[in-house]
Amino acid sequence: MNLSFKGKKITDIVSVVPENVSRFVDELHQYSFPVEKSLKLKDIMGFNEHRVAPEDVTAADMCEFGFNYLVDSKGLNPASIDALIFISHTPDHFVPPTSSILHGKLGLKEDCLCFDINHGCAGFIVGLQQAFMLLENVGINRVALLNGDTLSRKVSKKDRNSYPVVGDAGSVAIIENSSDTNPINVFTKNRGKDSLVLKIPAGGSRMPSTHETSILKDIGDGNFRSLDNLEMEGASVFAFVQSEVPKMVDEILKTEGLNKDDIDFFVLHQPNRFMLEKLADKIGVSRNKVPNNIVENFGNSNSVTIPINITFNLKNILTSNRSTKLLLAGFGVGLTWSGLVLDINNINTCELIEFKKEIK
Amino acid sequence: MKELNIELADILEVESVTDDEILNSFENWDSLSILSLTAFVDKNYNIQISNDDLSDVKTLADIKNIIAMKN
Repeated sequence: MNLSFKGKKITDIVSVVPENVSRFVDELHQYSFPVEKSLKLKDIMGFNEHRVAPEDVTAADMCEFGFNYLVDSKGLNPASIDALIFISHTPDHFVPPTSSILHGKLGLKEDCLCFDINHGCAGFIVGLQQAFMLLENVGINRVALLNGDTLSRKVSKKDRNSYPVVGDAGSVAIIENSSDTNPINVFTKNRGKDSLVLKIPAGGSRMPSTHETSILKDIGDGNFRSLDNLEMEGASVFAFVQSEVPKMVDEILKTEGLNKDDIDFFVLHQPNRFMLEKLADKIGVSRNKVPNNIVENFGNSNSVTIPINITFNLKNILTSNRSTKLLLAGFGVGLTWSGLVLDINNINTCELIEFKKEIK
Repeated sequence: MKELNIELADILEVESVTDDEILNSFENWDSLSILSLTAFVDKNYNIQISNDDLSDVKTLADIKNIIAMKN
């Protein structure tokens, strides 16, 4: 479906990554495969470096750090936030909502809506769409969208298909009403019948975590996982992405009355380099227009990959006067795929910062 | 679909692959080679192969059957 909005803009984006860099070449001993075979994957998939948060740091901590950075360095007034959205698969607790915890820590006013959304790969676009809908209401003028995940703790360290690609991160985007009345159209589709192709089997009510669910088992191809770990049907997810994302791009461009050449950058979710190169080819655009360097530098951090992609690759261009046309698209968990075209110039904040623990 | 045999031989780093050879007997038949072949089929035939499809695949002939069925 397509939702249409008017007069909305992102004023600030900050991405937060842990300081700790973990390198694929130093992790090769974790896997049951010959070293030379693992090294073959390095260039093809973009396995290189990824960021892993310290054990006692949560996704919410990184989001809090990013928000405080905006307050301390960019003059954001916490009292101006009318709604807070926290999107993650790795909340601090099941109860209460992490958005409530953050509302307290960030010192937001009581006249403020708070909610958590359990979402992943498409989570940044899902969050933008929620923010736009909230901003349609009189009384809501500024929304803080917080995305964060610590996926490194949800995948098995002995699973070479998953561990090298994931990274931990958080991000904060500030969204508000603007006088620019150009329409913003948000495309979203859901395919719940395939929802379990990407899942963490245990840990919820359907299958509570027990000693048994924590036991690592060879899944048949030399990778070891437990039922507490993230698992995905790789070929099915690949097939879904290659089939639906190019169609979504075409539909978004049609709605906007644009051609592929009109888009300066296709800022896509970052599963791995291989998939993004194949996707660029299938969409029919130059691979230069589809940045694919986030996995090799930071890892796939779920809904945070789009903010990291923007702040790592496009800072100079988005803070300039020149208007840049971006097509953002997320796809994966759900299965959900969603996207939109945004024109951005003179953005207040577009920064990638490293998380540092405050010494209290 | 002769090009599939050539592509798969390339992926598996062997001289040639026949339709009936057991894929599991190749040293390089692993998750990466499966993904590479899936991507080739997607690009050249615009056909998407899922994990369900792959569960019964033993030979290249099985993959050719999937392509023929989905075509």
